[in-house]
Amino acid sequence: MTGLRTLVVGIGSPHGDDRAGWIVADRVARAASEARVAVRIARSPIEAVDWLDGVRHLVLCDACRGLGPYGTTRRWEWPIPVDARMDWSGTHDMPLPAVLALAERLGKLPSRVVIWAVEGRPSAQHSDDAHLSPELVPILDDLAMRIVRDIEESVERP
Amino acid sequence: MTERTIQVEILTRVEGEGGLLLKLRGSDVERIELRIYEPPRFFEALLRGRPLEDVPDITARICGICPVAYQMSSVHALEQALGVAVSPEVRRLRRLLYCGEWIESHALHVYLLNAPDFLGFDSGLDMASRYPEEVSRGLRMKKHGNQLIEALGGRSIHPINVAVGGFYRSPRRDELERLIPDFRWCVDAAIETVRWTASFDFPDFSRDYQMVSLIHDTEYPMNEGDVGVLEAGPGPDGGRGAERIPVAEYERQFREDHVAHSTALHSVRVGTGRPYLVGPLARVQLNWEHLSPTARELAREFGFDRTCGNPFRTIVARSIELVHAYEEALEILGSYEPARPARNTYAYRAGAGCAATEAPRGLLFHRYTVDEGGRVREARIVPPTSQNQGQIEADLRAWVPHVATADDATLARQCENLVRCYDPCISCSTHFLNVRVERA
Repeated sequence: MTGLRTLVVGIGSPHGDDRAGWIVADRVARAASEARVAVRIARSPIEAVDWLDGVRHLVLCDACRGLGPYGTTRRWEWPIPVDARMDWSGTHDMPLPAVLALAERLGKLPSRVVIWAVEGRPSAQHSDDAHLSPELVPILDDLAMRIVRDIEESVERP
Repeated sequence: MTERTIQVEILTRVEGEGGLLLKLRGSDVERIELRIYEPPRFFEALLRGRPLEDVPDITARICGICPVAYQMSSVHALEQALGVAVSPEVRRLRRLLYCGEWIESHALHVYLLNAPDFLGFDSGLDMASRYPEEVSRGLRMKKHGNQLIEALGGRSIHPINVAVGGFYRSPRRDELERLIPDFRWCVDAAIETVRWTASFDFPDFSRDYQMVSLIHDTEYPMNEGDVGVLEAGPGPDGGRGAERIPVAEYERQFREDHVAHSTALHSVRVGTGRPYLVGPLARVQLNWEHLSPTARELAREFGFDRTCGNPFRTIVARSIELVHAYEEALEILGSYEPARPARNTYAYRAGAGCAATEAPRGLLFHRYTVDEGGRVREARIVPPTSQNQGQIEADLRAWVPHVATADDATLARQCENLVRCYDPCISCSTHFLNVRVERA
């Protein structure tokens, strides 16, 4: 990935609204005009650490809980505060903030990291249903366009 | 005489949520409680009445780090109840899956949870700045373990391919062969891991353990064997001098007790009431002769061919098991033939079966009773952290006088360090709800 300017990573799974990150990544891949934008999908945030060589701008998108009403979206720029207890305290995997903090300590984190999140429906997030909630589709379309514009604006910056 | 109470509200870098209470009078320990307050999860009750085919996937949900262990113990126990034999190919594939779990669990614990204790860091994050090469190595080792689980189990966390009688699907050869180059790299990385961890400055502290692990005549135990009990003592052993107990006798030889301060049960040996140790330190010493060639040489070089009762050195034993797991995985990957059929069929019948396998943290026992319609009538699960919990408290009681003169923060940290050496999985161990009924 040497020479890559922007990497977009959609994080998720094939289950219900948890696939939101993957769908946004797919929409961004279709819409992005900047040649040096790569788009990948990951099941776990830690996978992205292996893809950061040469990346100057990392964009992450994931479904999450606790943002607010269903479909709420939010954008953060790294750094964000990382609770010490998020440091591998869970049984499943490293949470996204811990992964980013780790990448930073390892000297791998790009200079600009943007995180986009969308509130999924809890029941669908944990079901075996492969389908996204239909109400989320236009929200993700819009989110993908916002991400593309955000990337283009960052490219235009000196 | 000074009284001190030290309370660690939340133990960090362990799986799940627990705390530690320590009461001292001078340097004498008055009270030590490893407090597991995570709510009980009632998995055994949840299984009652369900189709037996649901059991491996439901019990896998007990833990995100060691789901394979729960799947393995459950399918072996159910297959025994049903009288189902699995093919040699399925057996090898199950060992391969277990290698993946040992790898991802051990690599995480060695590099990110336990090593910071010996190198003076509060977290794996803090350690990463000073030891980026080592942390990157650990992350890569863990990743390849996860990839192996995903290739066999469909996904790396809570895999879904394990079935009673075999697997739902045998992976294609190319799906597994593509892992081989990375696993060759991993063997060297694991050897480096053993040498790195063995160079740590370990406290001079040793215990006369009653070590418990599966033992097997010809292989390093993962999926089957008898329960071996080795009393600490001098001299090489390799399991030969260990007491052998058939797994079917497990519940007559080991007992779980309720304690007021924990939602996890405490295991002891029936008769003596003594706690005992399960996990890599016990496993390596009971079975070092059956380690892979490189792992065996390392075990000998670093003194695990004779009794080692220093719990802090468990990180070295865990690293030796990483070498073994990569070497065994490579051997299976290189000679893999898909099992045909992937799964043996069976007829329902009423019966009971039990099995023990070796989870990364130690022996995991399951017993099930099923009815003639293929439904679970009764289930019992004894996870490794329950079995170690009494031993952890006993070890803390012996350890604290060594560090009692330290200030409170240092003492608390020293105690946490010891607890982390056992890699406790608190979420796995919470089974018991202390219900108190007062009647007027």
